[in-house]
Amino acid sequence: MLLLAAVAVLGVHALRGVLVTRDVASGPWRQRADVLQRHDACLAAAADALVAPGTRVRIPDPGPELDLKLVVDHLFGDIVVVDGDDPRVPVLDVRHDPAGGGCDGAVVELRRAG
Amino acid sequence: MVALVFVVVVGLPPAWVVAPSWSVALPLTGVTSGLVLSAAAVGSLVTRGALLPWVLVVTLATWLASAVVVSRRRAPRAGAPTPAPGEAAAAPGPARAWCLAVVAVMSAPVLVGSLGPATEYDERAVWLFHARWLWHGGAAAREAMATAALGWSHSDYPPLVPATVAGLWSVVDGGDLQLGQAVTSVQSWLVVVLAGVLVAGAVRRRAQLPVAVLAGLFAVGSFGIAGGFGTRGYADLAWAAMATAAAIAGLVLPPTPATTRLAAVCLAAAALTKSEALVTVVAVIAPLIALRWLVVQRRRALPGLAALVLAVAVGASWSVLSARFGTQAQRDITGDGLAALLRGDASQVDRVEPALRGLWGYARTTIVISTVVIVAALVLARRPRRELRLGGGWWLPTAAVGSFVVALAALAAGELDMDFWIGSAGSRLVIASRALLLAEVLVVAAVAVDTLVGTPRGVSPPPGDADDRLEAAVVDLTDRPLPASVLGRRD
Repeated sequence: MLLLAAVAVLGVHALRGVLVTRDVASGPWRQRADVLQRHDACLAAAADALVAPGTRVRIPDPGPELDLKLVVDHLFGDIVVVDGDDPRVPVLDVRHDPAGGGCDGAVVELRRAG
Repeated sequence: MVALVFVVVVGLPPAWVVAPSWSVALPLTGVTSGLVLSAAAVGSLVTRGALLPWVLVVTLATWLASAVVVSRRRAPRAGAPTPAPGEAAAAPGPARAWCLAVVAVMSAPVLVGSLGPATEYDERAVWLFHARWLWHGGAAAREAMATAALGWSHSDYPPLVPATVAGLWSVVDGGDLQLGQAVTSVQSWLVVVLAGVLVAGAVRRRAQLPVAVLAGLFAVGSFGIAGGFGTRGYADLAWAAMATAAAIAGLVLPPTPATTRLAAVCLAAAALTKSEALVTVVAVIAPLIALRWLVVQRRRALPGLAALVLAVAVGASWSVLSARFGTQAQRDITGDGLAALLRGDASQVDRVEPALRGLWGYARTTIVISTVVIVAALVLARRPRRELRLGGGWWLPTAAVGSFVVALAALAAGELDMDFWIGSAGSRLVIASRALLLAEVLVVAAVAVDTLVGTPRGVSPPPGDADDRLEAAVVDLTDRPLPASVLGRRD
């Protein structure tokens, strides 16, 4: 009886593992990942077109927003992110456009003082 | 496949030093490869040099040192007692190689989850981002760590997972995000398999095949506990599995030099994987293992305790290094928050109830159904466990409770919005405590299978000499001594 109960506990968790794997591999997780991958590629292309290699940039605190983090990840090694508030250093940011421009409403921009 | 081959090739020689058995050494590569490549990453960071030379030098040095250690290991002495006929089948020991095959084949399909695009939040904002830092070399990584504007990526997080990814990137196909995701998934999978195989090795050989099947269920179930994050580039299942493997080696298996090495290596790796893992190792698992070893071995526990101290020191060394590198990280939990919680300040204490409610919501199924089995086993099946010289049934649940308390304290002491935090990370914070409970259920099932399979005629359990069995009799605070009839029997 003890063995059966233990097997049942292991089986319930294994079943959950199977269902989770299905969701991740071909279900909602995968569908969301495919959408995000297209979004990520769009942001990367926009960033590549906007920021020349070797550019020093500042970035605002993105908070929980992921888009700017994806852009910085993509450009890492090509750009140098610096601290401080030197107005001569442009600000790399991702603005969210309610009209849906850019990449599903995410617009990569490099703001320069003045 | 590339990720698997890389992890195994880098980690196998040191894994063999820790556990000279294919069934344990192969899955242990998920741990040892991470340690080797973490050392390489630290070398690159300290010297501000490129990563690839350090990967090559540290890997080759580790292989060489491992070869020396293995070659110097003493062969069995001439005249050493040989097992009586049938005794080998009755003796616990490292699981046979086909046990590993069973667990691996049953659980390998979960890795299909790692084939999708690498797009998860922490995966991209933390783990693969840090891997990219390391891949670009020590100078770039040091600069990024010291940049406050990048502090949102938790720049102080330990290096084991990103170092493994960056290590592979440095030799093949640099910067490939999906490959990075595959490495982390393989690493997590190997360590989960390791935990299962360790339990299969805790029973007599004739019981190992059915227990391996149950360990396969445990491995798949661990990825269920991880809720999809196990194959999506997160470090949470990796450290939880390392902590669980360490707990099985240190709290369940008989204390031997081999289990001591295993526990220490897994503890060090867990602590080098994530910050809350370090806290769990230092505050919960290492002290529990030390307590058990002290009770069981008394003065003979000193070498094991030294190994534990070394493991904790290795795990904690990253914090020192990170501070020395001038790391600027945003911290969700601060010392002030923890102090306020301990003082009983309302601002933090008021967070305990919603934190508890949130964590309970994620863990309740595992807690309730596992507890039923564990308590039943404590009441009904203590003797067979003692006969196998295994630690008592309270150790892993105690570690699970401790791990849960660490997660609860982290949420309560932190400053993030509780609903956001619970929603985004709550399920991952309880992976370790759920995995520890599930591991105990696996141990209960394994002992029950061992009892069912029975002892072959003419062989007296438990194996080992009388001293070993006497040691097993006082195996922990929860066990009663073995009956005199068992202690008095000689093989």
